[in-house]
Amino acid sequence: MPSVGYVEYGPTAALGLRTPTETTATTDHSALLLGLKADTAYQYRAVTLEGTTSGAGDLGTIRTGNLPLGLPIVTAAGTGQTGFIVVPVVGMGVAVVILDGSGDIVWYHKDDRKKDFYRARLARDGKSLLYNAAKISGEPSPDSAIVRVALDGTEISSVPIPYLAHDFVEHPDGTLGALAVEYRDFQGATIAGNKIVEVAPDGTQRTAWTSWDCFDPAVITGDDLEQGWTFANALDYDAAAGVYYVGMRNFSSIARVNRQTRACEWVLGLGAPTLTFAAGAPRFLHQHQFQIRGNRILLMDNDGAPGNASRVLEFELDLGAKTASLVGSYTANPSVYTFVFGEPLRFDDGSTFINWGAAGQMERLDPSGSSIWKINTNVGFAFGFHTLVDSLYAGAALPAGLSGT
Amino acid sequence: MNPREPSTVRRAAAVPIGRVAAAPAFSALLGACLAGCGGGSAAVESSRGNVLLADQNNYLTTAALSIPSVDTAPAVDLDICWSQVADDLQCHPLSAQSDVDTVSLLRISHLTKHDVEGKLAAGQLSQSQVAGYVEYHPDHVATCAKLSQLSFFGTEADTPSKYVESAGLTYLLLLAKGTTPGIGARDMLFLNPTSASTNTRVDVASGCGLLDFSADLLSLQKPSVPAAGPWIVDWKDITHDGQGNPVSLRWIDGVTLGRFDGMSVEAVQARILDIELVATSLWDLALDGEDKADLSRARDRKTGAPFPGFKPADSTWMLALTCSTCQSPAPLVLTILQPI
Repeated sequence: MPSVGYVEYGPTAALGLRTPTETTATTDHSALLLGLKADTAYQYRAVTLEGTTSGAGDLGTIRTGNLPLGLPIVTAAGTGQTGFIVVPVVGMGVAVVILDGSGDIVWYHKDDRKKDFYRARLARDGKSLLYNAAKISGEPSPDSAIVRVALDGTEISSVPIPYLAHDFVEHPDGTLGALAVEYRDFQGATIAGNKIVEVAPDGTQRTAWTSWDCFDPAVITGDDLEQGWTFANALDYDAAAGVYYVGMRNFSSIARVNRQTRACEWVLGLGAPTLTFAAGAPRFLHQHQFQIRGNRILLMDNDGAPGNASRVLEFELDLGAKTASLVGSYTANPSVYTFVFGEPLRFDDGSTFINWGAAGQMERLDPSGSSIWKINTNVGFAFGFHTLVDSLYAGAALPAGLSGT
Repeated sequence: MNPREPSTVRRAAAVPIGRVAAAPAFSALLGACLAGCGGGSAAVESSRGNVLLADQNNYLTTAALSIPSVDTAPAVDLDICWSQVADDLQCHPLSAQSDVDTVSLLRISHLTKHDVEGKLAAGQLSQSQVAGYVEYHPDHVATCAKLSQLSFFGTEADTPSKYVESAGLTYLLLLAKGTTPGIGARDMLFLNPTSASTNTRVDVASGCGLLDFSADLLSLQKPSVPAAGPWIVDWKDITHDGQGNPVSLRWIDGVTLGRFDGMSVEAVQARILDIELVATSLWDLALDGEDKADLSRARDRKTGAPFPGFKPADSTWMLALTCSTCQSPAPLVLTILQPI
């Protein structure tokens, strides 16, 4: 008799975890258990639903295997971080991992592309994970790609996009938007700007924006025209507004880009700004990822703080007055310095998740700004850009209480 | 969710997949996925080995580093030279030209030089304490480099401008074999940028004498191993390394078995930094996440021949579990086997 069902599982007989209920009645069932810690015994049982009747099987036991070499050792302190963190690790080893709230690796993937991974996301299809395999240090790679891996590891496909940069997004319809390097001649030399490459679900690629749409190297040169003119390093997308947000490291600026017109609606930062910092507001320098929440922006200021520390800054934007006012600042204790990467996220309850990137540290602050949870890698491992999810079965759905880009 | 055969063992970080004895009318095929299921080695709980290692079988070690420091002018493009280096931390010969693959400079925050020495000796430095890393790969001809040649993985980092005097920063120069960041250090030197100095040249000295390492092989309990086999060594019960630090067993990536003819355990202990040089024979086995190893799969380091067994049984037999990517080159586990 065809039926639907699910599997309950957990480290004790109390179980506590479960797979989603099957959507199609069948006589041949399978279920993928996700979120399992390594080298740990789990109990499970199958549950069926036939009309209004349900039944559960006996408890079974499985034991997970060991993790392979080349993954970081993550130590955790404190509590208060729930759900899962999808994040690449780079350094001594390169992989995409999923961490649980205890800092334990519950999923990993490595490949043999000899690239670094910079951003990882659960895909909107609910069945796979996306990451960009590229090189951002030294020469960008012509054979970079966005890679899709099924969560059960059975499918791997990739979308080649030459010269990928740090970041990409997935639109609600499955379109991928990725930062890439674009080379153009300028005054007899070749300079590296950036572009946003979109890949439609049917595989069609188009350039949705380039840095030349908004900026002119004759007017603004950035930090180092030879090494990278704009050096875009962070990308968000607001589907409701139809705008991208592009962070440019060598401008120390973040731009809001209209996807339809390709115009920069505003630019905040040191390079080519259209918004003015309010009196007394600090400038950020070589920032990486950010979050737009209403009229506020939260960002990782990698180099702007005095001394040898990175910090998270929060600004309130007044687009009418074209000003940005500082409303918050946070430096880790002890301070850490992340020369690349870094990503803060504010939850609706006022708590904050901070990925300190190259410092190999992640942190959760309570609404008062006190640090309540922290994880650290051993030396040699950095975190790339992450995504947070409550469930590994829910695709790219944002965690409860998290909004914005 | 694809149906899978029962009892299939997925390669790569996966866990066992078995048919679930289920509720009425529900015969599920259960796939449990830890970590990508996408590449790597089989990793499934199975029976234990017959040579079980526990903490009481492990050696005890002490390690201390005394790293010299050189004052220099701050924020200048130093000349860094290692032509005078003749031996390494273990007092083994080191060719300044051919053996140095990476020259790196770590900027460490919130730790004094003494703290750094302690963390390095214990292998306990964390990534958040490293506030900057630049490196240079010599061409195996020249033995000097400018500070400005040290880059962040190929990206110019304007290193001299970031080489500044600060009470909160410690600069550590490493000479390493291999190119994996932070791994394979053969020599070390603290750099101390200070406005009191006009020095712009750094000459790295030999590494012998920087490391004070001792090991106690006499107090450990020798695990028995059947001379006739099998020799399935299982270290799942090990919780601490030789220094007493909690150990992550998944970092063990090699097994080395050594035979020392005519040497007592005490004599091997006295040559602890030279055990690979004084061994009569060595057999190696590479690992990838396993927590036990069949010594019959080990191969002679020189000839590639398989391990023939514990003959002669009255030799001193040493087993080491090694970690090629750890900060400390000392084996995480080392014991003396007792063939019976």
